[in-house]
Formats: sequence, C-alpha cells, structure tokens
Amino acid sequence: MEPSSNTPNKILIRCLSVKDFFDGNAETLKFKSVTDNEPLSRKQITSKYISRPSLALSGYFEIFSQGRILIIGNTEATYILKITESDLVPRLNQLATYDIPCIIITHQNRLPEIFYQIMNEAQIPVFESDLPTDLVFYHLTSYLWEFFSDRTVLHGCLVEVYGIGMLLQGKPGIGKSETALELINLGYRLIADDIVVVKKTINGKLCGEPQEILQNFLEIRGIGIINLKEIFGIKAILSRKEIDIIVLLTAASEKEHFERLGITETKETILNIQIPVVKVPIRPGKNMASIIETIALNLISKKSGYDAPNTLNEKILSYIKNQTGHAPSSPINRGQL
Amino acid sequence: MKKTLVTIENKLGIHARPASQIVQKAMEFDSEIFLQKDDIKINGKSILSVMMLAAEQGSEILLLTEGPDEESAAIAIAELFRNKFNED
Repeated sequence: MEPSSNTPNKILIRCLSVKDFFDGNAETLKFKSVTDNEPLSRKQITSKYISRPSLALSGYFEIFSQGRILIIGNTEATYILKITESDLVPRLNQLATYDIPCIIITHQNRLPEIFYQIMNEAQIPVFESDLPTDLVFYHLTSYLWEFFSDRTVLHGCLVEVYGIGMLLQGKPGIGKSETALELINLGYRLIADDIVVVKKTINGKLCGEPQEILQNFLEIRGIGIINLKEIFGIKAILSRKEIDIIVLLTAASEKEHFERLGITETKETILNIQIPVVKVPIRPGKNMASIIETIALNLISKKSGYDAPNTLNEKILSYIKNQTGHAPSSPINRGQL
Repeated sequence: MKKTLVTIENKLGIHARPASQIVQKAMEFDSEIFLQKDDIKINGKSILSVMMLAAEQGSEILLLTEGPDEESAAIAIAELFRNKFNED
C-alpha cells in the first residue's frame, strides 16, 4: 500500500448554537418556542448528552450534569403540577442557576406559568414538542451524536453505485472526477467531489457528505467547473452516503503491484473504522466506470457470502487431490474445469 | 529461449496462492514467461491460466522464458518452486 493521503485532519471543536439546534430540529420534532427569548444564538450546546431533571425537581442537585439539554417528560410534568408552588419555586430557581442550553417539554404538556417566568428571566429558552419523550430522545440523541461525532476531511470523490458508497481516491489528475462523470452518465449519483467530509455515525459506520459550499460542483480538467444539478438534475446528486469501500485509482506501471486473486483484503483505518481498499490500475482508454460498477457488484456478492477466488481455489484443490497418483493429464484433456 | 524443468514440491500443489506468487514474480520481468505441463502451455503472467494447470505435488513443469531478462526470470521463478512457495 502506498502512503495514504488519508491523514486525519480532525476538526476538533464543534459548536452548536441553540438557534441552529432549534432550526435544525423544528420540523422533525414539531418544536415551538414558548418563552419570550427567541432561541438564542449566543447560547451554545457543548454536550451530546441529554438529561432529564427528574430528582432535581425534588430538590436533589448533588449529581446534576451541566451543559446538557433538559427534557421534561410526563413524569416531570406531572410532578411539577402536583407539588405546591412554595416547594416548586426555590427548586426551579436553583435549576435556573445551572448552565442549561435549553429545555424541551414533550408530549404537549403545559406547565405552571411560574416555570416559564423563571426560565425566561434566567434566559433559558424553553421549547415544546408534540412528540412523546421517547421519540424526542431518539431523534435528539442521533442528531447530537452525529453533530459532535469524530470527523475528518478526505480528499477524493464519493459516488454511489448500486447502493454502495465508493470513495474514489488517487493522485491529482488521475481521473477521479472524470470517472465520477462516467458513472453519473450511467445513472449513478455523486455525493462529493474533491473534498469529502467524513463522520462517524452512531452505529459505527463512516458517512460522507459534501462540503456545503462545494455541493453539486465538479471540476473536469479541460472543461472547468460544472454544476451537476444544473446539467443532470436531481437524479445525479445524493446529499450523504455511507462509505463502503475505497477505490484507489493508480497509474498502471510494471513495478506497481495489483491484487490478482482478490483473496488478500487491504483495509484502511479512518476514524478508527476499517474500510476495504481496492487498488485499480488506470490506463488511458480503459473503461473505468464498468470496473467501478464491477467492484460494487463484487462487494455486494461478497457481503451476501459468495467468494469467487476461494470457490475457484476449492475446485482446483479438489482437482489436484483427485489427480495425485493418477497418470498425468491436464484439466483441459479431461474436459474439466 | 531458456528452458528450466521445475518440480512441484509443496503438498497442496499450485492452488491460488502459489499461482499468485508465480504471476507476481513473472510480472517483474520483461521476458515472456510460459509454463508447460504435459502438453499444455500457458502464459505465466495470467493468474487464471496458472491456476488452471492445477499442478499437483510431484508433477513437473517446464518453465520457458524468452526475452532480455530470461536468465534471471527463470532463476527467480524456479526459486519459488524450490522454496515450496513458503508453504510446507
């Protein structure tokens, strides 16, 4: 394997403002802002974890995690409505002293006016969601984990072929974008060209996206920059895709070693996740698109449990075994293989 | 044209991995390289052809090399057979 271009290039600090958080989830979670202060853009969410205040409402603050979004579900809402205001107010006041980016009330619960007043004064935005707590938890966990996930930026071209996410890599000018263009012409889709933002998903996969500014643009040497969406329409574009395999396009040379059997699997580690790598030689006039298509189909076939090189090898081994001790003859003469 | 007679010494014969070693080694040379077993002569740079020989332990292969580096190619490939493809 030649030295890789995939040097980790981590963007370490990610900041999520409450405003962006609100806007990004308003539709899915049917958010309504209920306090006077509009979702504050200066307030930041720094944790991917969510908390429920539960025991804090009964005055127990010894273990209380700062900086987390608070969710008030049915349990908390019922409790707040049940206790007297003289009990409730000091606890809410104490709660409001903590660093809380925002509070979400689920299940269409409505709390006493005093709750909104206190949070309003403390400048803690309160949102309501019509959805049940479990759903809100589920959505927010995946949203926040993804937002705060490990990420890196890779050089290459991410395409989707037969449902397989393929990251085309190789030296500049080798023909990554041109290969992508051939694939688009065949009806496949491009996710990102040149710069691929890669992040680890909650289920331990790698997911690639375009860098926002560059989305839909492709550079073809000799033509310049083109907009795929303008030329090919929506069918040519995909906004994100899991990366299943890396295809390393390499200038064909006598000295370079290319896999001939397909038994040895090369892998590359990106964000601690291993991705198979296939290195293919490039020559002018070679139809790269059909090779890339075949790599995708072969990966699907492998995933479904079929292993061509080993199947052939088994055949040969059994042939050799049967042959040992017999008069020499080649498989062709015996009409086998 | 150089002719070298080699014997397959490893137990399993020429299956996928030895075939892959032969082809990889052959690719390093400019010479044309052929393997002949009985009456079948195949191109030593083609993996499927080498596998197709399905040559078993004890059988003999005639190694034919032709080109500017035929001597060194013959020596290098014969070496693989002698080393039993690092198998046994």
